[in-house]
Parts: sequence; C-alpha cells; structure tokens
Amino acid sequence: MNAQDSIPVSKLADRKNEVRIDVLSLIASSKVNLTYERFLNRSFSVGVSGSFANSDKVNDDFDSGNRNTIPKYEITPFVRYNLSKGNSSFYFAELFACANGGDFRQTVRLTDANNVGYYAIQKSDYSDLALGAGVGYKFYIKERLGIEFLVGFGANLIDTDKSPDILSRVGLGIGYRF
Amino acid sequence: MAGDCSNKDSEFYNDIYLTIPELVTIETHNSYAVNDVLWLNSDNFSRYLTEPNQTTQLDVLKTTNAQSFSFTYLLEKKVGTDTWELVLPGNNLIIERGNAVETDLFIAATCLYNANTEEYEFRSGIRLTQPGEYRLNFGYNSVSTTAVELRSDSFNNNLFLNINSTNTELDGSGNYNFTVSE
Repeated sequence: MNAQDSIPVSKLADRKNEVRIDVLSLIASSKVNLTYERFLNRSFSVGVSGSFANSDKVNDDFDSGNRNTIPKYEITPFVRYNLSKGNSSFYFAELFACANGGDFRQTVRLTDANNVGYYAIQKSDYSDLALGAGVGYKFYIKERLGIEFLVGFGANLIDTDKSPDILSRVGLGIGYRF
Repeated sequence: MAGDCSNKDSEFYNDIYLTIPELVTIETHNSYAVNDVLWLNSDNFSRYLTEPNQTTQLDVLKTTNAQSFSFTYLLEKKVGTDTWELVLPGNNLIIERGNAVETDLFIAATCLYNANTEEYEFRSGIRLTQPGEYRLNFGYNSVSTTAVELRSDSFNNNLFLNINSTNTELDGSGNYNFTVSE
C-alpha cells in the first residue's frame, strides 16, 4: 500500500446531484427559491433555480405607491465553475440567465365618458430575460448537507420600461447532495 | 434571488405634479392701514381644472378622491435691517371658507370640497394690527419660491396631486411685500 492509497476518496465525487432551498430569500422576502444542481465533473456544474414570491409587504408597497413592480417569479438556469478544485469546500463563479416576471404599475391620464380627463393607476404584467454573474462559497457537512453563500447580479434586457433594471442573486442556501 | 432593484423603484409613484396658475390669490390693495385685513382666496377652484398641454379638463376629485387640498403660508414683519419676525395672528386670523390653522412656524390652509358647488373653497384673512413693513410667503414646506404648492389630502392609496400654482403677486424670492400705515 502506498501513501496515495491511504487517502480516503470523498463520497461527494460520486454524488452528482443536489437540491437546495434559499433560506435568506424565504426569511427576508417571503420568496420560495428552490434549486437543482448537477455536478458534471470536478470543475463544472449546471443547474436551475425557480422562485415564487408573494410578500404582503411588497404587495402593500406596490399598492401604496412606494414601488412600481412586484417580481412574482424567476426561473434561473446557471453554469458554475469551481475555483478551488476542492470537493468539500470551495469557491465558485457562475453565469446565469433569468426569465422573470411580475406586476407593473404606472399612472396614466384617461378620459371618461363625459370627455373629462383624470389620472389613474394602471396595472399590467411584465416579463423579461436577464443575464448576470455571481460568485459564492460552499461547504459540506458530513458530505451530504451543503451550505452555500451566493452573491450575484444580473441586468434585464428586453422589457426594461416595466421590469426592474437589476436583479440580485443573493442567497444563503441549504442543500442536500445525493 | 433575494431582491430586485431598479431606478424605477426610487421614488413615490402616487405623486402627480402639475402647474396651474393663480389657484390661490392675494386680494391686494394699493395701500394698507392698521385694522385692514389681508385676504387669501382660493377663488373656489373647481374640481374641473384646465391642465396645460391637454385638450380635456382634469377632474381632480376623480383623480385623488380628496376632500381637500392643503398649502402653507406665513406672514413676517420687518424688525430691523434684513431682519424679519414671524407674525402669529392668533385671534386676528379670520376664516371665512375652508380652514386655516396657526402653528408655531406657519399657517396651514385647507381648501375644502363643497359637493354642492363642486368647488374647493378657501378664504381666510389676517387682520393687520400693527403698522410696519410686512411680507407674505408661501415657501415653508415648499420647493418653489414663486408658486403656491397645493397638495391633495389623499388617503387609502389614492393618487396625490401636487399643484404648483404660480402667483404673479410674488417677487423673485416668493414674497408679497406690503406696508401697513398708521
């Protein structure tokens, strides 16, 4: 037996899949954000996150005029590169796209049946596609439980008259690797 | 994702700003004597206003659901070179229509909606009990120096209408200057 044979092989290398929930989004903005990630090899992984939000505070701010959008959903495919080459803890960088949508409000001038003008709040939907990048750090407990910190930003590209200009992808994820 | 931000999220979206001249006027006189009254008047402006650059009138009541519009003003008396002192009119504040409330810093005026006439009504005066140089100013709680800023008293997520009402009686500093003689 040589020295190399004595190093235990990490089980993480054989566990190619991970599901994850973002607890930061859940607590901070009542947003459910679930992720599936597939580890292709030691350097690359791909995945997709889906989130749905329905926050009373955001809805109230929207109705009272303190914001003009309510982000409702986001579907975010991503590809990650392991910067540290480690298995049990490592830094990573990612590129992502984000299909996102929600409600938008604007004040418009209308004319009633008596040909008198008035201003009113008009609500409509928006949907957009953002591209962005992020960095993060991940470590595993007992080679199963993954803890992940992520910071990233993206810019919407299409319906920018209505959609938010910038999307943040910031999270504290707890995952299960299998 | 934990949040979305936008330059479109950096303001209050229930505000509307318009400029409509002479909604509040000063009933000026060529000269003033002690015990004369300086009157301010909303001229009972209608719920239907002519809006610049629009072909139809604007229904401000339908826009705001507001039963009143408010603005502030103050009267100062000259007590020295470039020194002015706030005049608190007390019992010399006369309210004929609408409402006016004296505070330690200004007078809060309210143009009240009259459903019968479909007008916002305000007329209030200050009895001038002392001779001297005075100036009336609408600049407290106000950005504009040459306009009276009226704001609808809106509730329940209705739109707030902010009307900058220019007044030709005001000088470049936003004052109406006058002298009260014995």
